[in-house]
Amino acid sequence: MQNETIKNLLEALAFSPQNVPLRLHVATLMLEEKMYAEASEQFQAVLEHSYGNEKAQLGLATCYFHTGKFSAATIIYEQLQDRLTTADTVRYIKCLIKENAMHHALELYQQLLLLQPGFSDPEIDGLLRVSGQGAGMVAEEEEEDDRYFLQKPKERFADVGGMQRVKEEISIKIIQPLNNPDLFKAFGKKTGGGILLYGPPGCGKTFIARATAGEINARFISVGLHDILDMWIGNSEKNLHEIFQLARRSAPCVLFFDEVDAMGASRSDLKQSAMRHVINQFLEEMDGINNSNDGVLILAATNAPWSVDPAFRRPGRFDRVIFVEPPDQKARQEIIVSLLNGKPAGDIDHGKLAADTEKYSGADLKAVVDIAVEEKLRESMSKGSIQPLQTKDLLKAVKQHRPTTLEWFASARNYALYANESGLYDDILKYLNIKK
Amino acid sequence: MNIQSLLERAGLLLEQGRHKDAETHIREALRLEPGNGTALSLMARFHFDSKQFDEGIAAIQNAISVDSQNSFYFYLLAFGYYQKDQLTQAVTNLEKAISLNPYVAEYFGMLAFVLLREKNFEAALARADEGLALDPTHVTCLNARATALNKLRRTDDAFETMNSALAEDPENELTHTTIGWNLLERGRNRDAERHFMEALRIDPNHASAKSGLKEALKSRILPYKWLLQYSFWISNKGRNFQVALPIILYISFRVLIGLSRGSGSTAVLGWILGGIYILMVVVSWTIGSIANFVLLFNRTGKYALTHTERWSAITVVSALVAGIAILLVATLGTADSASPYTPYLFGAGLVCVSLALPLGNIEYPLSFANKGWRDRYALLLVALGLVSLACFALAPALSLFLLVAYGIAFLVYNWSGIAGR
Repeated sequence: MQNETIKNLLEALAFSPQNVPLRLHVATLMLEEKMYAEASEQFQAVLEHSYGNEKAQLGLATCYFHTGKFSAATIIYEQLQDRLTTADTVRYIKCLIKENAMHHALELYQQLLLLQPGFSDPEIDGLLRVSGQGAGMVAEEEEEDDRYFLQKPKERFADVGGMQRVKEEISIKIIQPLNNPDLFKAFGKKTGGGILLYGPPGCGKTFIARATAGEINARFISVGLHDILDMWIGNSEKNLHEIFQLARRSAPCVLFFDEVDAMGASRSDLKQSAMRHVINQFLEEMDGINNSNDGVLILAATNAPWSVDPAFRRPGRFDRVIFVEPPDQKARQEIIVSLLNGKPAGDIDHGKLAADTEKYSGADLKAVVDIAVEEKLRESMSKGSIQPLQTKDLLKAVKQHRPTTLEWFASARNYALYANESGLYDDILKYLNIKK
Repeated sequence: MNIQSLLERAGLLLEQGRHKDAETHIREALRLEPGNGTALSLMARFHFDSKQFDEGIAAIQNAISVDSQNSFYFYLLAFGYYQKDQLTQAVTNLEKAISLNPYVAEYFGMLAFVLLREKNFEAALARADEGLALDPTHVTCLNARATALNKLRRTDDAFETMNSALAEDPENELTHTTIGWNLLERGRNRDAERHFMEALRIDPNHASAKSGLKEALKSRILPYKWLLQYSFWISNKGRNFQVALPIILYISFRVLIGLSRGSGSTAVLGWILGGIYILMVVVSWTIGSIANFVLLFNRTGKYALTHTERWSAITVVSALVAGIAILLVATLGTADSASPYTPYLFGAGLVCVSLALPLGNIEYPLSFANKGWRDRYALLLVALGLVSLACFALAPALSLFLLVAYGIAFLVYNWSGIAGR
């Protein structure tokens, strides 16, 4: 029956070879009948008449896929990457697998799963969703290499110890507007803009950003120092635009810029106009002039807020600047408890440890525990039995590891004292107990 | 990643002050190509930024052995020597850099700064002017010129140059700092204060601006201001004078002793001059700490002081106040009736006052570990002084012995120049 139709249509085509929709129709029917060689001819004919016809291109790719011409199909899919249907994407992934581009395939598949959590394809699953160690290794490499990879963090605010003030600020600025859009509209409060987190290294800025995404069940894109540097060096503004586009497509999405001060570079560089373009592009994207940023929440973190271009802080951009201080005593205690969880430990006085580790960051506490564990390992090896960690071992480790935040505070203190015109660093003054 | 983009990234990171991130990129580049001159010069800059001048100099010397025609490498090498105060090598290498590329104003500006430190003010001025002939707006050269003019006491010209440097770039911390120091040297401490504050606003971690601010604030106290002017005067006199000064002092000291041995009015004159001399010595030991103590009550000054400065101030002033109080009590006591305790009180008072010297020279928080022998000696001296103080009250018989021991230790401390920092 179908064959009959095709035959008739082909005859009709012979009279009007320029009729693109008709030829497309014929080709599609041929595809359905698995006449791949003939279909491919028709699609090519369409492309001769209307160059760049997406339907024809995708049809052609399908033909290639079924006839085993995987590299030819991959080329087409690559060109049309943003406009693929689910079925096309599945074929694209399979082509990549055949081409042995596992990394790329895995990335695409994970993106697909994010968009359609219930999706599963036995063939791909068999190759990419390997259970056990193999998959873990692939996933680990993934994190390092694919920098713009969309993540779906599982951490919630409840998983973040302390930081009450930061959570509240993020909540009022980001989460509430998302949950109660009408209420905010009624008060004429514009949503959008971003939050700039600053503070000494290792105090959980990245973690709270991830937890924000987890809290609102949004996707999370993390842009690190090296991505930002690439923008300075290469043809960068485009990269920046692509990141924002990816975030917009994946809304609701938390777009997180780590070490955002690298974007502004040092004061002297700013005078070189060639260097300004990255900043300008960033500001344009943030303002959402050409594209709406609805559902895209922008967070940024920095250890050097003084190097962040002041233009970033204008209203509608990073208009909330939040100081993420080292964990307080209660939070430190929680961190120590969780760090020691699962390790052979005797009767540990967590309270005393927390009291003795003022100004220690989460990363510092981890280092302290590592030092103590190493020492105990050595002891256990020489004694031939597991020696549990004791409070005094940890206190000894505390003495060995000076908090890394001190250096940061030495510098931050000067900024707070001498360059605090707009009260930007009042939080630092408060934390250091300095009254001006 | 290819070597070119590694180097580009490293350069960017260095400019952004991220030394540690830069280091990994530079090392990676050097692993790919151990003889890459650019990578070696970046390595040198990394070391300089991390205050590792010897390593930096070694790295840039390697770069020069790869490419001996790159003037910038010689400039970097000179910078390393300048930081290490090896001024002759700095001059040689800057001249080499200039001979390779005579069109870079920065080389002349740097050379002018080296010559300034050599107290060769005329030559520094000439070099700065050469640099300005290449680029009339070059801030380093303008700063060098202003400083040189100020040292040559051509004050008006100096201020004119400083103003043009400011007009060129009002947001330059180096310019504000230079102006601050020049004003301070002219005794205009209030104006200097403003410029140091401005420099710190632009770069709050600028060490020279911070120490300048402290000096300016302390200069509000007149004796301190005079002492500062005196030290500017001495330091401008060049090395020969500084070597000759102790000899001059020694001769005048002998003359004083001669006078005091004379009879009648000459003896009185000798004692008065001697007294003034001793007063000046005590003041010069302690005025820094006293001024710091006053700064503790100033809103800006309070936070500019380092931990050591703050505690020196507190301990020195406490020792002085306690000592003088004890001495007053002792004097009043002798006026009434000779009490048997009077000599002890005098001894205790003297010990207290003299403790101000070592107290002002040690680092706080107190620690015996990781200290040089000077600091340890000072700490032991303080301990000995405190023990003998305790003995005055508890075991007066022992105290005489301790007093003598303390006195000898104190004299050794003082005369061997340990106290001289």
